Amino acid sequence: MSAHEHVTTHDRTPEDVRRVAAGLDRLGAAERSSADAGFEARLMAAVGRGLAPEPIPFLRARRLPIALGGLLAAAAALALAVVLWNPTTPVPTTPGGNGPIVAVVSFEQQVEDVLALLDGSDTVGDLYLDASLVGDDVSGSWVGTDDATLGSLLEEGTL
Amino acid sequence: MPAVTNASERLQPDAPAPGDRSADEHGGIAPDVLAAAARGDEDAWREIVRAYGRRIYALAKSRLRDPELAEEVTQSVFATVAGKLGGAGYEERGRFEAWLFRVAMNRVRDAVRRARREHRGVEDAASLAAGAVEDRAERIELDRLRGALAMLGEADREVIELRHHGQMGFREMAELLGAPVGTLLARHHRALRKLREMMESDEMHGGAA
Repeated sequence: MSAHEHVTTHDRTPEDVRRVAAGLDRLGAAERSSADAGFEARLMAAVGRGLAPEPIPFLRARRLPIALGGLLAAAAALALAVVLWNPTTPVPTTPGGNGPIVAVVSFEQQVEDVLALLDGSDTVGDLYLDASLVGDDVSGSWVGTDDATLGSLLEEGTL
Repeated sequence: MPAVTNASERLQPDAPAPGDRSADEHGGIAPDVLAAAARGDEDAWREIVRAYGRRIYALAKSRLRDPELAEEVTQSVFATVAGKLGGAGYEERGRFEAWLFRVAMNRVRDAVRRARREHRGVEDAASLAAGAVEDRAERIELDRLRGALAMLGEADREVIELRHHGQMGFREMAELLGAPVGTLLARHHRALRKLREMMESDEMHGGAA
């Protein structure tokens, strides 16, 4: 019996129920003593967990490893570089010099696209895929040019 | 038995008499120990665990009838209490025991509800482990008492378990349950009488054989 155990005072219990009260005291004592010797040590460990709680599991699961975070940053930088590089490419013109054949996506629009990409991308693979699609979109500005014009451009070596 | 003057007094098995400090000594934790525990002092927590760990466990085990689940609940209670005592969650300075048992009772109720949802019985599990009570006749007697206890109504059972398993004084129970001490004493006596009748009926029908 520990220092804090006390004997329930069933001797002060009314006579008619004294026996059952004594039985309940013995039952309670049996239940208390049924925990094994390591019980208190396990409770102390639980107290330790309570004093220094671990991060909530779903928050921990969303935390990315440092290496993956670095890769993501590099991929984002790469995607940004691809987009920023594109406006410096000479805008193709018709042989007659009548202006651009197809309006290339504006710089502001491209920056917005990259920002949208960064928001929506979860993995390095996604970023690479999205970056390659941006490239396709820019190249796809030729789509819609009539065959004759494209043919002459090919002959000139512009494409 | 000393002469009694009224019904309320007659029903007070441990009503504190003037100068009787027994209720304070029933596991009461000194304020400086609580303050040290709030700072994370290990010795203070060891004292709290020693004072209340097995009492909370017995309360949970009586209701859940599953030693592992009872320990799980007890650990959860102490982890919660440690977190709140160390933080800002404990507002009831001076009534630590009532607060601790309130957390425990809520956890036990949650566990009982969960077990029912999962269709796991919490009343019909095995009897007391042989190691807990060596004497076979005593073990049978206590098992019968446990069976009778499980048939009591919620309010009666609560008072019995807090008193005999959790070793709470009636004053602390009054704080915990928000009921007058006299009401709880009467409820306790009524529950004991019901248990006695159930045990006697069981004996008449050969339950002790």
